[in-house]
Amino acid sequence: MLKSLRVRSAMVLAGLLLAACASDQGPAETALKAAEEAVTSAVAEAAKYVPEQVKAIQDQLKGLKDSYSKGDYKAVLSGTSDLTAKAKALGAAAAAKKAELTKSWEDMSAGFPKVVDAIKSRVAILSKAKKLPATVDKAAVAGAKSGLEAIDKIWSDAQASYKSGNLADAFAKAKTVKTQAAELMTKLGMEVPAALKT
Amino acid sequence: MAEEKKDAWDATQWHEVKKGETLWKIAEQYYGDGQLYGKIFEANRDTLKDPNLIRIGQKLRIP
Repeated sequence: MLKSLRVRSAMVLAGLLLAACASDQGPAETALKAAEEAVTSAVAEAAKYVPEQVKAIQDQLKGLKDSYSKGDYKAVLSGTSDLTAKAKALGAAAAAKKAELTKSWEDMSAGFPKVVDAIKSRVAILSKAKKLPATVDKAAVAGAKSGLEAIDKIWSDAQASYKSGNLADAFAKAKTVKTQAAELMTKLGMEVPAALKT
Repeated sequence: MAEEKKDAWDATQWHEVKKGETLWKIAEQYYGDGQLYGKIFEANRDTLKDPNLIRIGQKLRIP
């Protein structure tokens, strides 16, 4: 009698749990869809500017989908509000990073050609010198001419990448030309501007 | 000698004139050839009227 009562109680409890879980499924599905939409709309633009944050959010979404597949609706319900908030914050983070990168690019676009002009001017003068300073050798002057050609080409490619929206490539190339220009200036005995050292 | 720069991209090269220096000597220092002093004179025509008249402490652009 007692055993039968226990079995019945367990069955009732299991039924209640199943019912509770089933009642969470609908809201969990709705919340997951809403969170996924929020993530999808945010990542398209943000991926260009804050790729690490985008990956973290996508990983979180994947985790919630896994939880849903396993029937852990409570985890889905508690996780989706956080994910939606992060997706909204992603837009602001991307906008801030975009503004920072745009400013950095505009500064370099205005400043870098002046650096190249200064190097060209020095190379042109040193090419006319009958004797070079002790700190500069002939090979450095000759190498500077081909070095400047390479810098012009890479800088031109960097600008094309920026215009096409490939920021990672544009900034990688920009870093390369900064390094190369700094090396040339040092070899020519010139003072390197602060912007080339960062 | 470096002039204090506000623009991090400013690549202007500067030299502060010291006692006993001439444009010829400065050209020798930077170009290895004193005969190229005219390049420095031309780059500083806004402040130099005569290549033989430079002042101690004067800051000159070195192109």
